[in-house]
Parts: sequence; structure tokens; C-alpha cells
Amino acid sequence: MTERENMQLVWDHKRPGWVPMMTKASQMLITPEINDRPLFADGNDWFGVPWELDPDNPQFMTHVKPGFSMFDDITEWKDYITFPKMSSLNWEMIGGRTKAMWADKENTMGYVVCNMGAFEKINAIMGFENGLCALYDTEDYIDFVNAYADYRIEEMYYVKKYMDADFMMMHDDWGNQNNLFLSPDLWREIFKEPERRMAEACRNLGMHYMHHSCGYIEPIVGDLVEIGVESWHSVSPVNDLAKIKAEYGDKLVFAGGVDPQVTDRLDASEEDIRKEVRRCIDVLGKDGGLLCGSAVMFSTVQGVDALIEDEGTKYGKY
Amino acid sequence: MELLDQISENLQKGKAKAVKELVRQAIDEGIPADTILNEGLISGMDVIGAKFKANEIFVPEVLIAARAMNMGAALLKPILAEDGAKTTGKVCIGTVKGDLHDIGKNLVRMMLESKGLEVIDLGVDVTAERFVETAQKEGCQIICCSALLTTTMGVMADVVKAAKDAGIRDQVKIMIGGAPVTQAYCQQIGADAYTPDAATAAEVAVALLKG
Repeated sequence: MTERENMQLVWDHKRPGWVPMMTKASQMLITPEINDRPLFADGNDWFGVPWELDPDNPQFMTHVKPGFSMFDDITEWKDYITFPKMSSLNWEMIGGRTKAMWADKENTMGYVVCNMGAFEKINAIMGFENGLCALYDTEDYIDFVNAYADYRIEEMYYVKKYMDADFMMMHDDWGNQNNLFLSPDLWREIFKEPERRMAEACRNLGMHYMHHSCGYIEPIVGDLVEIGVESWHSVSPVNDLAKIKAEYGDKLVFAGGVDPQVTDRLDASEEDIRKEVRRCIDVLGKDGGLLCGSAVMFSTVQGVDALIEDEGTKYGKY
Repeated sequence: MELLDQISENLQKGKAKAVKELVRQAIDEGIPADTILNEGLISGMDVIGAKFKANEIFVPEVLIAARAMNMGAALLKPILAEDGAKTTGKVCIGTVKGDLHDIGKNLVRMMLESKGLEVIDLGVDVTAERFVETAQKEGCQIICCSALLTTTMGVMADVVKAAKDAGIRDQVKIMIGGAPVTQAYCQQIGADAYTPDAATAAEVAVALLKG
């Protein structure tokens, strides 16, 4: 059985031969043309948000220029924001590059990451505090989130047609260390229906749908399952994971799971990292259901991801 | 007093315009500024802080309440200054060098201000030296450090060391917080207090100032 076939068993809620490690069983298919945020250099994103490179960041990640806010009243968003057209990209070229990048297609699953969801995007555009306060102009906020979902659904069509990806990973961090950023009821009012539409469109195109959210999102995990989100990536242990696994383990694939607050630190020992991988597999991997890896996808501290993969490979046998 | 209760209630709902109008009305009615501050605005924020700590409300509710508080407090500030009112303590706060996350730090700042403390916000990407220099220059009794990254939290240990090197460690309390930070880490680096959320940070700051 190949890594790909083994991973498919997890998506199908069947018992795999071993715990698939994300870094080994899947290949991220990059699409830098989709300018969610400039990477590795200063520049504006497609929406006009200025991003700056932090040379001290080990992943060379960019951040929004401190203090930037395009507008502070979300009722005016249509005056400022024009959604880019996915059709304007050279998808033939992107498809060709994908083929070259994904040489081991027989053995791995390919996935495309939508780097920013609507919540993260509006916070980048307006500034975090303005963005959070804008949640109370709920109707206009919903308008934006729906328009954003349409934009991402258009992307999915091209990703399937030209890249033939197996799954999409939609990022939108709704949780922080202690709680959701907004009440579960407000999340349901604003985000649930657009998220359902994205998950449905993705599945209808023949791709699996994974949502990445860091932090505590336990109160809405049941909603995600209900609307057809097949997998939750990140899966921080600030949530009651044993309870969530028991309740939704037959319907939801857990992806990531290894806590970077334990592993991705300069003072973490090799045993600290290996122990955390074992914890993740013990809690989330019983009888399958886990695509194991760092909850933040890639660690900043050198060598950590290799250790996670090594321990997961050794320990994650059924 | 009914008017002060109305200020508190409207603040809790984040109704900034209403708070501003009610504070103006209270001033016009001759209610002392420090009474309006303590029994209207601060009492409202105390409720917000307690609810946030209990996970009953969320970050946006705290933000809109704090904005309402600021609008009301702005009207009181010149009167309090004229009256020669003293703040209960002075704190400098910032996110440590290499780290640009500011929402948690801003929440702590708001909660500290809601307790009537004077807060100097150094922003993000703040060096250990700058924390200590500011504390020395401004006479801060507390330094509050925030870090959201496992790779930057080490700067908090540098702040403790810089305070020692500058000879002010016994004059200043050092508080730390942020997602990867723990009580064990606080003890390890010799800081004075770790708090898991903004409301607790404000309570602990007040307790530290009282000694």
C-alpha cells in the first residue's frame, strides 16, 4: 500500500495501515500567483494590504505593516475592495509547474492551501481591532464573507482543473489560546453558511475539504462536521480532544495535532518532541482518523519536523 | 446612583456615544470626576473583565467596551488633571523583540487602564533594554511583557536580566503572558507573575502594587 492509498483510507474513515505523516504522505502544491500575502519580500497583496518581510523570522514570513488600516467602517467595504479574478491567472502554466513539483503523485496526495480565510483577510485589511469590532456590523460583514467565499470557490474550480489536487486546506484562525475570537452564535450567524458553501463546492469538484484553525474552537467543531467540513487541521490540545475524538472521530479527520508550543521551541529536547508526537497519536490516532504533523504545518526551529516525522513513523503503527 | 449605573451598563454594551453623553451629563450635574470614573466607567469594565475571564464574553465585546470607556474617560481626563488626581500606579507594556502580535498586549493595556492605572504602551518588537530604560525614566512600578511565539519568549528572560543589571530589579515587578508562556516558565526566568488572560493580569497588577 502506498502512502497515498493509506492516507485515502483515513479520508474514507477506514482503518489505515499506519498513521500517515503529513510531511511524508502529502505534497503541498504552491500557488504564489494567488497573492493572499506576499512571501519572502515586502509588497502589497491583491487587496492592497502592505506586507513587510521580517528578516528575523526563521520562516521568512511577512506581516501586515504595523498600524495599517484601509478603512475602519466595514459598511464601506465595497468602496475599497474589488475581488481579483482567478480567471486572470495563467493556469496552464501553474498546472505545468504543478506536474513538475508533484513528481511523486502516485505515492502522495497533493493539496493547495488557501492562505487566508475571510476573518483573517478582513483583519489584515482593517487592522485586527477594527476587524473584530466590525463583527457587530453583522449584515455588512456577512456580505463580505459571502463574496470572499465565492472568490475562493472560483479558485477551487481552477485548482481541480489545472492542478488536480486531492484536497484543499482553507485557513481561517477563529480561535485563540483561551477561546473563540467571537461567540459561537455570532460565528454561526456570519461564517457557518459561507463555510458550508465552500466545503460543498470543494467536495462536488472531487476534492476533500480541510479547514485549518488554530486555537480553541471546540464549541463549533460539531457545526463544522454538520456542514461537511471533512477535516480540521491544527487541532490544538487547548481543546478537549479526547472528548471531540469520541464524539466526532467517525466523521471528522484530524490533521496536524502536534503542538508547536511544545515542539517548536529552542529549549525543546528531542525527547520533549518525541513525547508530544506520541501524545498526539495516542489521543487522536486510535483506529485511524489522524493525519499527523505539526499543528502549524511547518516548524520554525530547524530539525523539528524531521523528528516529528521520524517519531510518528516509528510510533504510528496499527 | 442611577446615572452612574447607566454609564456602567452602556459601557458594558459598548455603546460609546451613549457613554460619552451620559458622562457629560454627569459632569454637568456636578458629580465629581473621580466618582464618575470609579463608579461608572471602571465598575463597568470590572464586569467586562470578570465576564471575559469566565469566557462568558469574547474579545470583540471587550474591545467595544474599552472604546466606550476611552470616550468617556477622555472627557474626565482634563478635570482629573486639574483636580490633581493621582493614578494608582504606572506600568509599561509591550510585546517583546522579534514578536509583532499585539492583540493580547492591547487587551491587557485596556484592562490595566480600566483599573485606573497609567499605562505606557511601548508597542511591539520591544527590546529588553527599552523596557528597562522606560521603567527607569518614567518611574514604572510594573513591566508587562507579552510574547506569542515560542521563539521570542526567551526575550522575557532578557528583560529580567536587564532589570537586574540596571539595578532596578527590587523596584519593579515583571509580569509576563502570551500563548506559549506558563507559570513554570515564569518561575524559571525569575519573573514576578504570569497571568493567563487580560482580566487576571489587571487584577494581579493591582495586587502587586498594593504589595
